[in-house]
Amino acid sequence: MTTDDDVKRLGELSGELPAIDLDATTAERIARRVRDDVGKGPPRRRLVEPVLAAVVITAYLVWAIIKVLELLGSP
Amino acid sequence: MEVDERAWVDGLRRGDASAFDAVFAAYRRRIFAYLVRMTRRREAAEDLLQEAFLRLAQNAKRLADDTRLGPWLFTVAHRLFISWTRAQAVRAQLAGDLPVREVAGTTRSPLEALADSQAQLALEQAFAQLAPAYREVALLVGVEGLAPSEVAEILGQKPEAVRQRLARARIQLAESLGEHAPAAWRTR
Repeated sequence: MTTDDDVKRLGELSGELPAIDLDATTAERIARRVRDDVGKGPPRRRLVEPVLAAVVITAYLVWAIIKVLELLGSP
Repeated sequence: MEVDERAWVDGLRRGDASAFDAVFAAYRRRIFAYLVRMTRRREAAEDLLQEAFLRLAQNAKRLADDTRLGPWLFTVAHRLFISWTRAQAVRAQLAGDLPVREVAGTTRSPLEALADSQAQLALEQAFAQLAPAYREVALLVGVEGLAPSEVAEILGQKPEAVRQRLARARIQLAESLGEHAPAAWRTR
């Protein structure tokens, strides 16, 4: 059986599945929540978090390197 | 690409709320149905649907002229589903349980309650019993009418892998459906 046969048969069968939809209240709630964000770009939090994580990791690495150098330098 | 879709993309990039309303009306059922059948939880699907459209709204300015909104939204929905599955597994482990395994088909879910007939119920359960990777391909190709090559892009898989999953999904569906399977389906 070819992929085209698989596609055709799955399409036929899937047509029998019951329809699923949101209720009108939930759909409106989601639409209202999202509508205000259209075209505004990602929230600032999404940009701040990676920067903060990078600062923390860099500071930790610098601290670790200093400690290693101290150990190597000590008599 | 349809003319409407190009106008919608244009509107979204301008921050036009009516363009969003049109896109939401056009795609919300499809994305929601996909998410319900993947998560098997209506509330989770509602949350993920909201997140998918939020991402569309927040990334609107970056959409290319030729963006096809259906595949774009299904790609986001797929990634959200993967993240949700991982979060569920972590939550279960933290709770001291085994990682969450799907028990679909063992109980009658709200999804199955939608079925009007025994055949529809059997079909819904047969889809539920598929492994998520097979179910996803079967839904995207069978229900959504996407081409296997498009599904491969959405899932980040090779086309051959999608074709294999498709064939296995069809065979497993035929086995699960048993007497409810169309006669032609029993041919391998």
